[in-house]
Amino acid sequence: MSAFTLWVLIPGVLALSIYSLRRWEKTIHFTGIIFALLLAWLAWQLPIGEPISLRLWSGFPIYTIEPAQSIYGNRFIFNNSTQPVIILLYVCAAFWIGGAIPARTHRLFTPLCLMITALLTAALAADAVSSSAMLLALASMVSVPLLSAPGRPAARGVTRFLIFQLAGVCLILLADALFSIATRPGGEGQSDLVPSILSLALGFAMILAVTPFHTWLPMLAEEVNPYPAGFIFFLLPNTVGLIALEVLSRYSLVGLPPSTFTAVQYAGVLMTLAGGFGAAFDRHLGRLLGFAAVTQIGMTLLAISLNDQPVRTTEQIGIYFSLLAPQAIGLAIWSLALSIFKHYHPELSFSAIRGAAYRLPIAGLTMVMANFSLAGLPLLASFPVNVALWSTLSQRSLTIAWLSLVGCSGVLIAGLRSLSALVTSPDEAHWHISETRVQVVLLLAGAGLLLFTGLFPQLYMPQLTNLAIIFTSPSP
Amino acid sequence: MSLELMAFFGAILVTITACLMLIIDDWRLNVSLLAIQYVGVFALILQVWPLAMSISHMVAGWIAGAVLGMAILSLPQPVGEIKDIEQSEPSTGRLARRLRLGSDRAPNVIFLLISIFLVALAVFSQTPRVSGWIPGLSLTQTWGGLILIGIALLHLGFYSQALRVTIGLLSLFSGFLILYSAINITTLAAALSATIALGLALSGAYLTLAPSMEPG
Repeated sequence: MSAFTLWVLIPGVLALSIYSLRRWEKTIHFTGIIFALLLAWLAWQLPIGEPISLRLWSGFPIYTIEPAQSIYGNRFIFNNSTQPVIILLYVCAAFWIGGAIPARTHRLFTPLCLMITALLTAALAADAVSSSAMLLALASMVSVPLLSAPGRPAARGVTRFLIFQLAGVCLILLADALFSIATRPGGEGQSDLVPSILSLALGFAMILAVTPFHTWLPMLAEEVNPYPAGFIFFLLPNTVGLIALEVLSRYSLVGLPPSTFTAVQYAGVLMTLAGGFGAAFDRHLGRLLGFAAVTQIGMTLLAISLNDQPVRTTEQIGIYFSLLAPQAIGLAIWSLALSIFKHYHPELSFSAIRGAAYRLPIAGLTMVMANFSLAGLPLLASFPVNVALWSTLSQRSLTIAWLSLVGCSGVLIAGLRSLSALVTSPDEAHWHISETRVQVVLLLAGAGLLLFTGLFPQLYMPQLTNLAIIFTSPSP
Repeated sequence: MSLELMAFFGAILVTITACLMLIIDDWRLNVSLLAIQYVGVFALILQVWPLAMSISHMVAGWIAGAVLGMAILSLPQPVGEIKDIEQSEPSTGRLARRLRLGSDRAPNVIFLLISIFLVALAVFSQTPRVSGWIPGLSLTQTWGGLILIGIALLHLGFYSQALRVTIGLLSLFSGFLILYSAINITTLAAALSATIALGLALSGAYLTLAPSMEPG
């Protein structure tokens, strides 16, 4: 069996199969969680390209998971350095599917979630940039029904999301074509690279929602159920970030100037500032989530920009991987709490949710905690990683570090304003828990996780840094 | 007919269909023009891609058009509304009034024509340069690809309806594919491009039909 079959085809087929079970909502969700965790566990346990002896009974054949799969002339390569990313992707999918029932997502959420994860895994494994880009386009198309629930009018944010994703993919395809021409033997060299670099930068900027192409994020968070939106805000940019890292490393070897990483740094700080300012001045809880996601993508880009060597591995890549866990927890808890608010208050503007915390205290508490965590408040999940990022950035450019801090302060201000709106009731109000038991358990577990990861970063950061080292090391 | 002549007619076909799709408001004509546009795209990519791969893209485009058309036909419409549309005054253009998509905020035709003219001017000035970037890409192919991209961007900028956006995205992707086809001649590229065209059509059909679907 090939790794491609195990981590792409089987989840894809399963996603289609469990769609037929959509009448039994809980069955779908539990199947999805178990299957995603199983795939993550297999990625952790099974060595790729080495004989595996299961010994279920005597004479049981020895299996080897083939690392490469060729489809129509293009290769999809999985090796031991890809495994950490597969683990992260499927753990993340399981984590998000776990909260789907309390978040009241629609029944297509689990199959679509698995399908998107399978497509993104294939995009990461594709040898050719063009195939990766086209698979990203397919993943964004599968995201459309995930974001736009049946029975509701199509949100403008969804169409805008689709436009930016497809336009970005087209530009990456063009950049890939231009790169392959410019680096052909006998080409004119560096001068030919300018259009390809511009096209590549613009393509990734559109897909990663780099300012000024970030408008779809707040629109989407405002119009659709925040929970699937949070899933897309986390998974898509981070997978594209990994592909971008791979593409930048690959093109650095054929003449991409090191100043490209400086451009990534500027884009990152611009996004952090744009997200921070947007969050600080907005008056809609949904849009705040969108702006916070913009800030987080900015932080991700800043972390990527630290890896400014033409070769793949630098020590700072660990920071990028360490950012993933707090971001995932923060965005998942925030979007879950917000989806609970949206159920009771379909309009999430500050005026509409005034005093809502009295009715939904657990959701209010965890939402504000997640907000503060993503802003980098001490004792919460993102703080240790953000400090590591800021201190590394300050060694290179103090201005960039300060500006990203200012951006994060905007998210902090947004949290304080949300808190103020949630607890300011026009009438005399009494505390009353309206959340369901499952919601309370999940929200409190999430809040505990935010505190735990903030207080004991030494328990997960070395592991994530190790994963980063494995990912960035050449495969054996 | 030689391939160069086919490409020339293909470029004319994609230019005319792209312009008409931007101006015309009738969904049936738009879907038909999309199908014709794919014939033009076929003629342009046939210069570099093998016949089977070029045909697969054209057929995928036709199926995409059919999917969009079926999605519109499946929309539940109140009887009274259809009657109103059918009995509308011919003075404002009977064809345009009949079964229009209700884009009352569509830009004025004169404005659209001026926009098309400006895009065509920009494409005309840039065609030789872009053609020089990609060896093996003829001027007609470059013109066809760039004009599709330019007018598709106008489409995406002017309209926000799901059907219009999908048609714009399909044109945009076809435009890029014409430019890209000169470089990548792998079967996977053809298969994925056909899948993307179908995926776009399905996404557009879903967005069109989602409001009338059963919630849950």
